[in-house]
Amino acid sequence: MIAFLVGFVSFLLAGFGLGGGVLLIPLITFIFPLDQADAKYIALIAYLPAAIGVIISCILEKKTEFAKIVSIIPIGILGSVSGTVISNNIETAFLKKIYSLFLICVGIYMSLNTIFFIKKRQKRKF
Amino acid sequence: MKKKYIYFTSYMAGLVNGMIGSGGGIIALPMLYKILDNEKNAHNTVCFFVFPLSVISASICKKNIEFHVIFPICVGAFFGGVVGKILSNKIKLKYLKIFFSLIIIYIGIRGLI
Repeated sequence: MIAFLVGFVSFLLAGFGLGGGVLLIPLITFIFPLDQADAKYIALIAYLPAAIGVIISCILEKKTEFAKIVSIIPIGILGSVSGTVISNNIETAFLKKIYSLFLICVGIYMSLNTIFFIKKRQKRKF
Repeated sequence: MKKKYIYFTSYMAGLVNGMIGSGGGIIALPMLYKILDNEKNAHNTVCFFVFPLSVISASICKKNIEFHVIFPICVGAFFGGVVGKILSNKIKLKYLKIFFSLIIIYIGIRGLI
């Protein structure tokens, strides 16, 4: 039940633009006795059903531009493979530090983005 | 120059997704805003982009988790994603986003110390 709630809450916030597994990984490491690498694997797997739901609804509503990203997906896959190979070979503690640094950058980026977006909307009103 | 930026960003999105497990979408989103015709499609298209990256990363990753742990989380994630998408179309929670950004920064700082 707790596992269900953990997944539900993390991806509820993802719907608002917070990023799929960004909150999931700290929640998993906090609640369950799992380390960073295991939490990463869970986040990758948990993203798939959420993404499938979005993809199906987008195909039905025709609100996506798949053709434009077809050419860049292979490059993304290359990056993904390199990232996974690197993470498989580094220590968990170091991976956790990289993740913490990433969280700080994401948090700052998102808060600044949202603040500037709010200010832009307020300026338009006048 | 633009193509180099697109390729570099796609690679970085994949790299981050592979190393961290999530976040590829966050990196790819600003790039997609620029290359798509309609900005409103960006959030949806990001899912198309990150999905194969996650599949491949999960297949290469070291696995020692049991199915009974992953399954309820995946079910929760599915429903959370659906409900989150519906709610985000109806509610604009910008201040909530800032609040959660601060929480993320706090978690990050705690992790570093």
